[in-house]
Amino acid sequence: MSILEVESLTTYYKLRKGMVKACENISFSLEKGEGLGLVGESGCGKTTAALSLIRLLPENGEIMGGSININGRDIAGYTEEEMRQIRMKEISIIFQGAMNALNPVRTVGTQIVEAIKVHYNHLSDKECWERTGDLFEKVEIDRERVRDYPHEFSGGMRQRVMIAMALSCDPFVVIGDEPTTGLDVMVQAQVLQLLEDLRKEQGLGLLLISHDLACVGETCDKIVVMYAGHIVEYAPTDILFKQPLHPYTKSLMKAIPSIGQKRELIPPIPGSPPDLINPPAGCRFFARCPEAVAECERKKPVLVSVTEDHHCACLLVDSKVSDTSG
Amino acid sequence: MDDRNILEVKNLEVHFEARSGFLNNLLSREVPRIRAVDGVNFNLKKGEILSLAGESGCGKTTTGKAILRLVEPTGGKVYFRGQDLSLLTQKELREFRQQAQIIFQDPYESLNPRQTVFATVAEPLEVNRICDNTKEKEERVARALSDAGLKNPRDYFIRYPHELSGGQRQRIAIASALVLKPKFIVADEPVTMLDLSIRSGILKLMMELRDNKQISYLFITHDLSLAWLISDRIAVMYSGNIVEIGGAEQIIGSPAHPYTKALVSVIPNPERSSGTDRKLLEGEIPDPSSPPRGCKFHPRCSYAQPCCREERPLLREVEKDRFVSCHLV
Amino acid sequence: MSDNRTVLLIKKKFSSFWKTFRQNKTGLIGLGILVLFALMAIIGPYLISYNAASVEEISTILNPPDSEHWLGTDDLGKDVLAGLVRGSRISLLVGITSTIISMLIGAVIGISSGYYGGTIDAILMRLTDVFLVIPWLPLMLVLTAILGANLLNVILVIGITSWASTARIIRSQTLSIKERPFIERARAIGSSNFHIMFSHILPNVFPLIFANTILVTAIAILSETTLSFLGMGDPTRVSWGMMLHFAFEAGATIIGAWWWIIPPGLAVVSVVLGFTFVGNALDEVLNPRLRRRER
Repeated sequence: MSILEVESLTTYYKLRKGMVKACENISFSLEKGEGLGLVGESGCGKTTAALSLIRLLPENGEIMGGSININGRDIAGYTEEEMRQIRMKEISIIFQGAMNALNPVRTVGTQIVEAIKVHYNHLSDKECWERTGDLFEKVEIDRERVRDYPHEFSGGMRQRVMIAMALSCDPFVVIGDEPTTGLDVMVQAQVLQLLEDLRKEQGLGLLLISHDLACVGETCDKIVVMYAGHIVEYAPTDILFKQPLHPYTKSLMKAIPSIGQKRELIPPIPGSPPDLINPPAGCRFFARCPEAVAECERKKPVLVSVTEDHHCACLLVDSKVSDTSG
Repeated sequence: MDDRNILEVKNLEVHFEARSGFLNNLLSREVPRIRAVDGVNFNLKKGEILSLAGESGCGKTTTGKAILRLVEPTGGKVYFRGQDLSLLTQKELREFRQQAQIIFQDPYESLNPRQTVFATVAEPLEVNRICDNTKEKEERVARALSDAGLKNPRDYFIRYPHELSGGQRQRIAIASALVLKPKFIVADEPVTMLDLSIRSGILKLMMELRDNKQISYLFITHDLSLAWLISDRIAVMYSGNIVEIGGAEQIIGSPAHPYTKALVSVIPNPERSSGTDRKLLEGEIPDPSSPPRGCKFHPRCSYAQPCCREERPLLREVEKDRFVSCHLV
Repeated sequence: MSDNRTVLLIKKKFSSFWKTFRQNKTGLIGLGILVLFALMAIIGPYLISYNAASVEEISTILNPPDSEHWLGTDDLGKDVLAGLVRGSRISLLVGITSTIISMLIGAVIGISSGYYGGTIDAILMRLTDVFLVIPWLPLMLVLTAILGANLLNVILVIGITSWASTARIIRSQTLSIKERPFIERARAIGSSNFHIMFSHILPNVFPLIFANTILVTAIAILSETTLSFLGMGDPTRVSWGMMLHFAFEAGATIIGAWWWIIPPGLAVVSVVLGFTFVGNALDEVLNPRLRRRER
């Protein structure tokens, strides 16, 4: 059974001007020890999806429908109190800016111990500190450094502290919301490697949210590509890279410089993503799509299975599939 | 000076005095010096794109700014078209700045939020008193905007930065650099803040400007794959020094310095199954106020020899137009 | 073409400003109060005459409100409502002009101190500190006593004693703006320091100056009232403070002539309140950090 199963999750934001349809009909599942990448450009709804999962949406955000199953229980309708019971303990999140998430005037150790105590109140102070030290070793920081203040750590180290904190109550799903954005390439590689090792050693389910397809491709087993609030393609990483089907995925891939091949600049995708308050009736990528046909403007594509694991939401692919099967 | 070069940088140094607390000042007289740029040498040919690559804190941005004298160098010389920039008077400096421009990383922050597009792009003409005629000014602004790849430039005149997308803003920033018809542009991570699908448009624009207007670029980036994609040569910096410089294909294809090797190995590559051949470096970049003795990279270098701990390696030519600063190469 | 552009630009700026301002209820109330008083100051004096009672009309002295004198009369038989209307002119005039002086000084000192830093900053800020810590009421009293109590001096005195807090606020805002990349860009295109301060820093601190202006006006009006009340106002002109001053001297409280004291007092309070409401609303509209989240 999947440890996390999301079924037609839909989240809107209320604005004075109307509803922002930030995220619609998102479905995916995550197995034990698996890494799933959620990829898309800014404003595509990937962060909204993540915040919906852990229920940390801003005040004007609301889950309009769908289910979020963690270990077989649907948490979409949980109250804040019920969520507090499972946050950190079953599902936790690592944010992008590690500096802002830590209180600058308290040692990192006290902050982690505090988090542990919320869920393990039977542990003594000594045991909590012991546990924090162990966590530090797990994320490859010297255990003596639990008594240091946030500013004494470098950017990469601070992100490790955040990982230690996210792991402090043994969750089985960890969401990384752009955990390496803003870090240097070398540090980014180190942090990603750490996440991958932890995932494999401890059987964590990792949901990695990123705008960087190349990065995600290197660390995850499966990839969900989002565009303007919809999933456009969902497939195992190797299949996705070998045979991308959706025109958007294809253009994202072309934009990754492929070292060792000919150096050439790929033409950019023209235009910009649609307004999500009044999204277009048909395919949301229609206006920018190089392969679009007239029908795409009217008819909304649905996510269909092309092969068993490979899902794609594109009318062109859909018609090909029905052609071959019929 | 070779007259094919537009820019020659010799032993450029930028040392900052670390700000220390009142008590520290009272107790010890010695102020620690942060060696942000610690002896950088390179040349830039006319119409060339040279990438300055490295991690944050390696001094690449400071180098770019010191060349334009937006940060005052504390040592070394910069020659622009044969002219020693450290000797410029205030007036000459302004003239130099018309020929040498900079594009900043963050298009959301580098434009004044209270200036319209027209005011932003026309400003360089106004502060340098280049043209007073309103009509001609409008003409030049419109041309700069269309050179920067914006169609119907006049439609942008009374718009504000917050009404534009990131890509458009960066084009406005480029237009405001182009309006002075510069010959040299320092591009400081110009696409880092932009979405992947917009990046190639900006990069393409820069290449076209190089081809059509013979603009030379110093392209500052942390992303080696990007450097490889657009530049003729790459210089890799580590802790205030260039450790390797050479043709883009050679640097990426056969890196010589151990640091470059490691950097090249961590370029994300989805076709590689997870991280088998990545050379992850241990530790972090050294503290720029007290760099290690000898080769600055030796504490993290897996090939380090005793001599690396003692003597600082110099940039040596190992093959034609390829310089490496490592004892072992 | 370029004139057309300016008009378009102003229209655009104003409509977006008004759209946000409209949402602020207290701001609208404040604006209403101010418009009322402004109208009163501009056209009021043409409608009501303000003359002392002649000898025959001795019965009209110190009358409580009636149908002829809506707010009663004072000890010279003058109509209190008419005095209130005249006084609004002087009070608003003093309030606004002295604020302009205070803002000019505050903006120049604040921006140059923040932008240049170092020694200039140190000197200017010590000067500001002096003005901040000197008790302003005695200072104003001493200054008007030396310069002589006339309208211009009252304006000047209020102006030069009230800029210090503005200078502080503007300095701190300048410090943060000067670190932003667009200032560096301005340097890179060859702008002079003066150009950077005038075209880049000023427009960005302007909303703050503007919102602050409105708040300082309230204080200036209050200062004028205080000065006049203490007898340091221009005796030849009626202001609300002067009315209160005369009322007190004539012992209005003892006689129980409440109609002579309460109207000018209420006028001062409501104008000050009006300015404060508008000032706070503007602060919220123009200062993006205080603006309620739109997304």
